[in-house]
Amino acid sequence: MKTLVSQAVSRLARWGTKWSLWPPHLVTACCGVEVGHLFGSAYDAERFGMLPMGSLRQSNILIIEGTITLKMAKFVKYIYEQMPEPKYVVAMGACAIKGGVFYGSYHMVPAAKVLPVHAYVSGCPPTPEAVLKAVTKVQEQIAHAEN
Amino acid sequence: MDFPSPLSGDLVAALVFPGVLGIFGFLVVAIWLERKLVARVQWRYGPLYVSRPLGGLLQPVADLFKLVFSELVLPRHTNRLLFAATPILLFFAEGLPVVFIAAAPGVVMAPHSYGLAIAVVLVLLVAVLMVAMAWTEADKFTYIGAMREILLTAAYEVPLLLAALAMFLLYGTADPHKVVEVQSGLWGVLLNPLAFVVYLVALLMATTRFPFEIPEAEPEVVLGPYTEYGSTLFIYAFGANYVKLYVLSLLGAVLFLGGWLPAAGVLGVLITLAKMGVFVLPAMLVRAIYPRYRIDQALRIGWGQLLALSAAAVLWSLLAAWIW
Amino acid sequence: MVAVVLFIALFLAVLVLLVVVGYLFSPRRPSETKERRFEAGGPPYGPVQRRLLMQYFGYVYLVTVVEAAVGLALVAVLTADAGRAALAPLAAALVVAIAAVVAVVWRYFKLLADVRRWG
Repeated sequence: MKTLVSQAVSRLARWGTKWSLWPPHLVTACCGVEVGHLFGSAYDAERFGMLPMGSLRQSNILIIEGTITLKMAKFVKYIYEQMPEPKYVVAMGACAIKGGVFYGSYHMVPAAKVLPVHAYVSGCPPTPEAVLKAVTKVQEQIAHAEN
Repeated sequence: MDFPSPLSGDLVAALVFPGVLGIFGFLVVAIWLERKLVARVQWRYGPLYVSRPLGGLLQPVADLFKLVFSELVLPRHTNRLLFAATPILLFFAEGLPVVFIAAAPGVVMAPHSYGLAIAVVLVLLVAVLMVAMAWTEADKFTYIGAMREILLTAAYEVPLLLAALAMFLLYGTADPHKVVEVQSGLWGVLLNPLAFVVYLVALLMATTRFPFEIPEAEPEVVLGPYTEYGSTLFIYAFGANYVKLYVLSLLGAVLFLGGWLPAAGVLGVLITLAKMGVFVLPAMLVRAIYPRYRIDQALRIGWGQLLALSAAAVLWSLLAAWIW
Repeated sequence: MVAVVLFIALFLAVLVLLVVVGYLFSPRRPSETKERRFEAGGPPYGPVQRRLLMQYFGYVYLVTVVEAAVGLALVAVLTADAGRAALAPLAAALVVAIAAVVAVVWRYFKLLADVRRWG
């Protein structure tokens, strides 16, 4: 009985989370422009249920928009920590993967060293379609997650 | 007054429309409709893939499940009990005025000869709870949001009250049934168009829809009074405005658009529902059309043009009642 | 009366139930950071500097309650049969009240225009 209930709850919660990924406004670098496109008329991430939120208390997906400098990494970490529990991270752009044009720079960190990343998007900058693809990948991860 | 169904009219009112099911159903449909309409204006699709055949109608349901099953954070610096209780109270208080509003002959929870007037008063009393909520959160964004909410309340209250007063004067009654009966010839919107205009603008201000979306202006104060809320409490804090829209549009349909006329019974309920759209659709669409006023501009409108218009509406009603 | 009680009970029950369900079944990982005040992504420095003072709540009540109560009283008088006879004096009282409000508003509009000009 208890497992049945928890299974049903988990299914419902995963379905809801899958279709309602709300990112907070956090722009660390120039990929933010592409994220602006993501919610504009041509690409429309709202089709997948994404909605940019102002406050961290309601949001559950963090899109790392490009380069994270050491100075910004503290705040990225802080924002991630403040988000409520089921939370996902998409790292966007070559800089967030390995450094991109700033490869080897003393003052930048790849996203994986700051946060647990669920999906990467390659490109410099990535097109909004690529970001949407990563979001759908996160959605699949959520849908197929174990309890 | 009988209602042709296995349940009596007042129970239908309590359970289905305008009661509990109506409020939550409206929340789902209104949020979906708003996102869809705004998306249409902005050349987008809006919520879609969550349920393709239904055009994304399940989007607010998905949002609800996500919010309910996400972690509830109670900040350390607040009084946790009050922090959890105030949004519940706010949502409840916003829904309370429907007790006195009839959706069809007999479909009213508490028939009262001053029913509609009491409903208006109950709507006006809620702002205190919103401020209490913001105070409990103890945050600088909620502080600014609450101050703006108080100022805006002071600006729209008098015109809203005067608009309703003008209609009561004209009809000579505040009983929901009699108010609709009087309108069997001409609807209230034709009898006193000034009051209707004032009511519509005051409705936008009261529900902080877009030209007056000042307390929760996102670029300025994050989410205003709702900033600290997540999880289920966010649904209540944020949904309270939609409940207010529901109540005010139901009230407006009865006051200005002849309520359930020309039918009664189940058809009457449906007609009331359709007439609510006259208030709800503009409130959704202005979001995509208008920019936001500054607080001083909004106050100027409330205390200036709107107050003058509402006073004129009262005079119009006095004259009309005198000639009648 | 049954309907009102039923409505209130059901409405409150649904509201509380959703919160309880969320509290019981949602994943919980409380941390010190999470329970801090929201400061748009940065850590808060000390207690909040400005907050709403409790003693001003009286004024909030004044703003919201008094007009509402006066309005209800007006409606009660005007829609009663006896009240219709007393329409003229009441209308006069109403006009005087609105005139007082208009005078105050006009004064502040002038002040506001002055502030605009130099601000």
